[in-house]
Amino acid sequence: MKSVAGPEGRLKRALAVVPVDIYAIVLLGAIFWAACDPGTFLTSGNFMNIMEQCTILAVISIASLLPIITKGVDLSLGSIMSFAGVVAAYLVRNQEWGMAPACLAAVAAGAGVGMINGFIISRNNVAPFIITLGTMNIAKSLAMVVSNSRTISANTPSFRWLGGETVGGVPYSVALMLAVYLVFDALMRKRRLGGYIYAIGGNETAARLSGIDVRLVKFLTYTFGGVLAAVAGVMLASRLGSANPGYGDGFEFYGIASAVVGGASMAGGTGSVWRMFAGSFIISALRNGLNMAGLPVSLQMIVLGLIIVGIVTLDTMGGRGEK
Amino acid sequence: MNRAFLDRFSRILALVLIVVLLAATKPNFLGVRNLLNILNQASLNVIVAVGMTFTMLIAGIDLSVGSILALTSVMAARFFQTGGVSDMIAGFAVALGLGTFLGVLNGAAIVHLRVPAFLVTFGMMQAARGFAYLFNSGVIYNNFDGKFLFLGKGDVLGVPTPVAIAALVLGLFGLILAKTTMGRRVYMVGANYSSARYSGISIGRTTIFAYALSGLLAALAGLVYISRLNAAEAIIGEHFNLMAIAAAAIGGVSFNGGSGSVFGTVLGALILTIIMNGMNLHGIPTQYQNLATGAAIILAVLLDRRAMRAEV
Repeated sequence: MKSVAGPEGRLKRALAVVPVDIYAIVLLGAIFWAACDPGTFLTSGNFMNIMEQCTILAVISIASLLPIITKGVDLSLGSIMSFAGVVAAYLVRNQEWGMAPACLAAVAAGAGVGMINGFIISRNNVAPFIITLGTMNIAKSLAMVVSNSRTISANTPSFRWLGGETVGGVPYSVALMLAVYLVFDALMRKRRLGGYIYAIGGNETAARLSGIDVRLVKFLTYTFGGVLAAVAGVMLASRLGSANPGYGDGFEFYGIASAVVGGASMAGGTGSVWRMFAGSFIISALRNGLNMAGLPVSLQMIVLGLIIVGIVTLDTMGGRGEK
Repeated sequence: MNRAFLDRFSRILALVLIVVLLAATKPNFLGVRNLLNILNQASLNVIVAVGMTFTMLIAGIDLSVGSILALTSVMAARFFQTGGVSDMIAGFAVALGLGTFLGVLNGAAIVHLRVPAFLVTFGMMQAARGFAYLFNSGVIYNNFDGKFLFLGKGDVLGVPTPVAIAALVLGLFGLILAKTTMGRRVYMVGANYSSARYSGISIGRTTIFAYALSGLLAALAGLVYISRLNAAEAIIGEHFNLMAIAAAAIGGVSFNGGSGSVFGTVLGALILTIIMNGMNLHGIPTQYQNLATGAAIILAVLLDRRAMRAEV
C-alpha cells in the first residue's frame, strides 16, 4: 500500500492508541439495529431465516477470504456461482442426471474456472482483480451458453434437497456450511498449507525465500475458491429450485464485504475463518434488517458499498494494513 | 527490433490480420455500410475508454463507468423530452456535472482514504447503480426531442455524430495527454509514484483529475447512448466497464500505469468491435461475446507482461 503523508496522520495515531476492534464496532451496530426494531428482527423464526441466508454467503466468503489473505482478490466468484448453478440445473432438468453426479459436475465446472484463475495468477505477476474480471465474464458467458440466457426451472424434490430438508432438525444447507467451516478452519490453523497462505500474504518474497512453493499455494487458493463458489451456487439453485446466469451477480461483492467486516485486511496476511463467519452473519443480518426496514435492494447496495469502503479506510488508517 | 516499435505495430498488425481474415470469409464485411456501422459502434466505447486510459495510466482503474453512465443519463433524460433550449442545457449540465462530481468522489476517496482504486470504484459501481434504480425504478424515458436525437442518430457531413464526437474527444484528450503539463504528470504518477511525489507533483490533484475525466466522459457517452436508443432506464450500460477496460488493455495501456496512449486505446476499441462484428456476421450467438471480451483482456494483460519481461 502506497503511503501518503497528510492530515490523516492525527486520526491514524488516535486510532492506533484506542484499542478498538473494527469488528466489535460493526457487531455493536448490528445489535443496535436489532434493538431499534425488536418486534420482528429478534424472533427465532427470523433468526433461522438469517441463518439460512447466511449459509450461502458464508460459503462464498471463505472463497473470497483465501485470495484476500494472499493479497489478491477474486471477482469471478459470483459468476462461478451462476455457472455452477446453471450446470447443475441443466443436467438434472435437461439431461435427467441424478442430483449427486450433477452436483459433482457443477463443482468440477467451478473448480475448472478456479484453476484457470490460479494457473494464470500464480505464474504471472499480474493484478488478480484484472484476471478474475476476465474470468468473471468468461464464466458468465458460459452460464449464458448452457442456459441459453434463460431461467432453468428444476423444481423437483431431489433437486431441492439442499434448500428444504433437515437432518436432525438442522437444515442440510446449514450442516453443509458447518462442514465447510470445520474443514477450512482446520486447514487454515492446523495444516501447513494454511500457514503458507498466511505467510504469502504477510511477505511473499520472504515466503518464497524460505522455500514455500508460492505458485502451488496460490494455485490452490484460487482453485479452492472456484470449488467453494460452485458449492454455494448449487446451494442457491437448490434453495430456489431454479438457476439463471444472473443469480450469482454481486455475491463476489458480498463475499469481500464479509471478509473485511470479519477483520481481513485487503493488504493481506490477516483474517480468520470463524471471525469471517461472524462477518457474513453480520452482513446477512444487515441485509435482513434493511429488508425489514423496507429499503429497496438498490439502497442496500449503497449501504454495503459504504460499509466496505469505510472499513477498509479504518483498516489502512489504523495501521493494520501496513505490513 | 526494439520494444517501442513492437508495441506500436503489434496492435496495427493484429487489426490488419483480423480485417483480412474477416474480409476473406465474409465479403459484406468491407461494405461501406458495415464499416460505418463498426465505427459507430466503436465510438461509444472510445469515449468511455479514453477516460479509462487516464485512470489506468496512473496505475488505477475505474470500474464504475457503466453505473455512472446509467445514473447520469437517467437523471438527465427528462430534460430532453421537451425540446426547449434551456431544458437541453440543463440536461447536459446535470449529466456532465454529476458524472464529473462522481469521478471527483472516486478520486478523492482513492487519494485521501487510501483504499485501493478497484475497491473504491467497485463500491461506486454498486452505489451509482443503486441510486439509478432508487430514483428511476421501472421508469423508461423515451420520445426524446428530435434535436437531442441528433446526438446519437444524426450525421455531420455524412459522418455519424457519435463518430464525430469520439474523434473530437480523442483529439482533445490525446493532445492533453501528449502536450500538456497535466498529461506529463499523469504519466509520471503512473510510472513512478515516489519520484513523482518527490519531484513536487501533486498526486492528489492528478488522481482526482483522472477520475473526474473518466466520470465526465462516461456521462458524455451516456447522453450519446440514450439518444441512440431513444430511451433511458436504470439498467443500461452494464457492459461498458468491461468493454472500456478491454479496449485499453488490448490497446497496450499497462495495468501497472505509466505506459500506453489514447491512440492505442482506440486501436483496442476497433479490434474489439471488429471481433464482435465478425462474430455477428458469422452467426455466433451473442452469449459468446462476453467470453471473447474476457479472454481478450486476459490475453492482452499476459502479452503485456511478456513484453515487459523481454525488455528487462
